[in-house]
Amino acid sequence: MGGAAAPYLAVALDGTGWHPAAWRLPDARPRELLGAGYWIGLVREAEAGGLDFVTIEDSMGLQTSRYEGPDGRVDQVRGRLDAVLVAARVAPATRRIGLVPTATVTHTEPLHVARSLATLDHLAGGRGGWRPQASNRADEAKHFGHRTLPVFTIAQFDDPDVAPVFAALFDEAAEFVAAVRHHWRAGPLPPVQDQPPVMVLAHATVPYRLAARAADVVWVTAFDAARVREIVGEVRAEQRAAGRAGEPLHIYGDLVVFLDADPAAAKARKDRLDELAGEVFATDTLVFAGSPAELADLMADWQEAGVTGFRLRPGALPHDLTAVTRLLTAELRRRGALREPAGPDGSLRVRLGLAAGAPR
Amino acid sequence: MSAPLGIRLPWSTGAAAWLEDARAAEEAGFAFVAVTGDPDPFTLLAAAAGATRRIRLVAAVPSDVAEPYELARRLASLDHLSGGRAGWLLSGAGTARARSLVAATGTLLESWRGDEIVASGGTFVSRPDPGRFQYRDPQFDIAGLFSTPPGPQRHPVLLGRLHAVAVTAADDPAGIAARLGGPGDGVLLDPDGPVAAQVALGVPALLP
Repeated sequence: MGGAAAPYLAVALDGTGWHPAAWRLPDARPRELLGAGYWIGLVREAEAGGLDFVTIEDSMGLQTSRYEGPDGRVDQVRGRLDAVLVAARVAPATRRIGLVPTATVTHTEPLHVARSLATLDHLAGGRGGWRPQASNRADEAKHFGHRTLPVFTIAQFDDPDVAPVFAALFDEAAEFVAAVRHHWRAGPLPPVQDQPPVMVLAHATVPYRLAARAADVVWVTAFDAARVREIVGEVRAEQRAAGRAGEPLHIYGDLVVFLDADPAAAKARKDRLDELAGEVFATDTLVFAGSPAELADLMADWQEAGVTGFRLRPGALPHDLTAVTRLLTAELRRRGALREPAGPDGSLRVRLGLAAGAPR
Repeated sequence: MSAPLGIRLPWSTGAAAWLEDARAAEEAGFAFVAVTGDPDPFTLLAAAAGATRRIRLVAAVPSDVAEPYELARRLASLDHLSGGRAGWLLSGAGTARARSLVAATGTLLESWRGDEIVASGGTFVSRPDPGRFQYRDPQFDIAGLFSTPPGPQRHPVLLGRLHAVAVTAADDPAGIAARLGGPGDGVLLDPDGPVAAQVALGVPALLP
């Protein structure tokens, strides 16, 4: 472990899991995605496993496999609920775990978003958080009759032609987050924890800069520890440039996991899903398939490279969630690398060691 | 009494107390509950869905700023999460924007037929463009795919003109009950604080 502190641990909930064919597994519950019970069950499982928080994905459009817009596919989960409302529904049914929904910053108003998330924080007794998401998707802009931005893809993030548009989108996002924080500070409904933790997913320099300026936690994607080390260096440099060198800013490794006690079983499950999907699942980050011990080794390597926590995306629900909450936590405990579970009535900010204050 | 009786509970003593009052309003026999004050109504009502079983959960929507796409997905989401108990009322009804907002939101809530989710074999949805919609008038020009299939009601109840009855801590339930008659499609008790809310909760028991 190299003496690293036990990592923070979260899971990312989305539909029936992150593999596009996960809904086709026998233990998936694809017809229950629109019901409260499905989400309460998953979040309670995460809570029982002692995890710090769950995230709930969302977007202002129908799900799609294409970054650029709708894909017309009928073989993947389509249709979802508003993530903030799902988190609110789950809040009174849980006691300890943080609830971090996605809410877009591109087609909404800061005051409105600030109120919703402050309300969630009250309902959750200080366990609320927020993952702001910027969108340049033309289809989403048309849902609001807004101007459309030039379309670019994830591969073009660092392309010089696209960079100015991209930078403007994220500058706007940073201003939006600052406005929400202002409403939390000065508005009529201050959140229980004053400033619920703000977390962003970032894949490139421009969003690293947004994270360094505005976030408490940044989730970064990578395929190996060497790249993690580079990213951590870049985020920390942006953090210093933003004048936040002394402030807490967590960097989490963000990866998909297929997890079984027998590593061959995890790989076989992923292969089976790839076969059902008709293509090998590849996404913006590492897709891990293996045993809890192998994952714990990988986590130790990434920690060594500078991350302080992990957001694990279960490949299939509920299987890979329960594998995290039961098998992975047992393995980490064996290694002395499991954090104490949160007690009831603690705030998420305190839980994550962010009490020193939020970016302004 | 045929017009439904609701109560707008003030947000003054925190989330847990508000949810407790919503439960008490359901117990007392109110048909619907709304909220006044600073919280976001949809977020609060999503939690109230778990604390109650029968009462309708009504969100006040500001007609001057609400966007149809977001409004429709929150209405549909609340309807799913509450087992079909979502409702809404418009503040600032009667304007051109309010009328368009209702029409555009209705279009979005109609955009899924409701039987698209198959989830069997290799087919999750029965068509490649579930939720396709288009709405255009001088207020809104929107089109695309709507994110959220319809809830149990499909169209969460839109409450029309309500007869609001102010309630203060100095009132008593019998006096309030005597003031319920008035024009409107429903009656909304509007207590001005937590003490008045407790008084208002005693009203349904006095009605025939």
